[in-house]
Amino acid sequence: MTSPSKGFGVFLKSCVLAVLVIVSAGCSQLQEMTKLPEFQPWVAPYERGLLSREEMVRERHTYPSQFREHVYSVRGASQGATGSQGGGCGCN
Amino acid sequence: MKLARILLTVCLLIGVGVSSAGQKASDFALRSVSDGNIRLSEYYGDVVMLNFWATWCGPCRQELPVLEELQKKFKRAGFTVLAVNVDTPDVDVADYLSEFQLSFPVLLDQSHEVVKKYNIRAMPGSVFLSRDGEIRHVHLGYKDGDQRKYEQIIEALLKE
Amino acid sequence: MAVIDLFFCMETPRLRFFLRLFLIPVVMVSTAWAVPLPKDKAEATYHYYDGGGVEVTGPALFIRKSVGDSVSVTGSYYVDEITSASIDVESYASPYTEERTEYSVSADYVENDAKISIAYVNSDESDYQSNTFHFDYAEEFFGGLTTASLGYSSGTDDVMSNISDFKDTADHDFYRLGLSQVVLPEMIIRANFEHISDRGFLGSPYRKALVNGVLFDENLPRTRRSNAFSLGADYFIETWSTAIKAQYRYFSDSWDIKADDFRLSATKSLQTHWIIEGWVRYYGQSSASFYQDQFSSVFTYRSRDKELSDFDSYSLGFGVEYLFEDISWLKTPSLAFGAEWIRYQYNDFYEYLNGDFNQNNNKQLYEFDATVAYVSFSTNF
Repeated sequence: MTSPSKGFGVFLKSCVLAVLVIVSAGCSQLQEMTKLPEFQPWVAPYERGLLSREEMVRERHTYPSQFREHVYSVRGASQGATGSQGGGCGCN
Repeated sequence: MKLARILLTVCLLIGVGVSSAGQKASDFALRSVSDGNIRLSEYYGDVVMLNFWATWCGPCRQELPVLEELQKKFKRAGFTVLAVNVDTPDVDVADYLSEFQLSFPVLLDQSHEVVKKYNIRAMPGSVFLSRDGEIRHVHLGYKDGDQRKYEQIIEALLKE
Repeated sequence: MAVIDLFFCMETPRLRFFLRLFLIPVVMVSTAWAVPLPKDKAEATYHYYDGGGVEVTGPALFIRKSVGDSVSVTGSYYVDEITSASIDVESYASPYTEERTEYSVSADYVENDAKISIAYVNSDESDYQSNTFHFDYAEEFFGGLTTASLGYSSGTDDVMSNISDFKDTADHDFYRLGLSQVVLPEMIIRANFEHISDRGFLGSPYRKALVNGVLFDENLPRTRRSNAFSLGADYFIETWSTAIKAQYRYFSDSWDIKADDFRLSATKSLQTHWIIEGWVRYYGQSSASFYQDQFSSVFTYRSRDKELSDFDSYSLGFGVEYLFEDISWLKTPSLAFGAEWIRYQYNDFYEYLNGDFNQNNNKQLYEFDATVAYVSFSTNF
């Protein structure tokens, strides 16, 4: 996709950027200089109340949903991408 | 791709903090849970700790007893906590507070006008004001051990 | 601004994306929303499953405790008491009872906007032992609106037989990527991707395949690669105090199995102390390339595992939870009860009446109903 010379340019720029990042992480003065303007989230922290409601919280109880997920995966062929993981078992 | 660039630049540039040290604190009037309307300017001359909190915020709940201790300790020297609650109108804040014995005013900012004006970017958020109404310090979040930090800030402001 | 210009001059989108991911947490000013340490919690659950001649019941205990400001550790204990008289067992084996015990320990470490979790799970039953190790990393961006996570798990199983000297192993690797995004004050969306690689003995030493009505040992491939992808959204309707959650999951693997998983749930609070919940689920999968109910000759790879066949399942469930007032050091204790009815309808797995696999007329497509239920007491402290 990118020609060799362009690719090298990208590589060079990324090296410079990586050095900048590593240095700024350690040097507080440089950190002051390279600070981006503060990011304003479109949902402010004080507007997060609804997402913290009991009804919205996933897994208020740990095991019930884990057990249901376990039944689903044992009684079928698929597993994964459910948000919860467990161990193996010889469930046949 | 060009649209993405513009969008990213816009997003990154939006909003520079208005709540920065050295600024004059914006005056406001809010309804309090128990004592009628309260105006910030009524407290000029005192060191004020504006604390923004909500019932759904765990660290805020932990911080409330700490605020009460600060109030008791420094009130006579000319200090007060003004707790500004940002819950939605359906929440019964008075009922929530019944298990705490709080002696400082708790104000209701249901429309989020004040918390937005002070650009509070974490919960809880505390803004410390000097006696002449200037923002001197902003503290975001609450962890065990922050009480000591608060006391140091308040003592310094009281000495001015 | 020079930094942004440097970004925009990048030609490769992928590189740009990863560098941005790396750069943002370092350069971002004040953490607007630090990742909270999981709350201390203790939970006791009793679970129950009954379906298709199989009954599984047992307790599960869970405890989580914070150690200092940044670390949280958990321990759990789980038992399955199994009584199996499933259709396979009924057809060519004898009903049995068995016990499976699972222990797990894990630790979480949080610092600013990131969380690292490690866990170890051990499952033990007379003919199967499994050890799995998990590693997960999650980080919040953009004022806590976005959470990106990645994870890796590795499991090793020892597979044995209660009725013979059979012994073999199976290894599993899991790779996970996740993203959750706050879109509105009342809505959050999630995407998850997982790749699983299995190697070794992946079948059952007991299960048989049918070749022209005669029972043969099944034989599964010794490798399997799977991919699963899910997309979900949670939306809170404030006026009804109800949360609606929807999820779609797609699964596809190297055995030719493809599956669709649709879930929809509604959770509502009533007065101060009650939460009620209802959910539906549809799951459909297509069969593995080496699955057949009856083979016409002995194929190298052959299986009659109904769980690898083409089937549809429909679920309907409900849950009720009562939230107590704090009781001394028990904070927000609650008692939950839930039940789910699942109907399994197989499209290419037959029930042979009178146990005669040779009959071509006296068979019917198999289906059964299962009930899943639980009672759980949970409290923070």
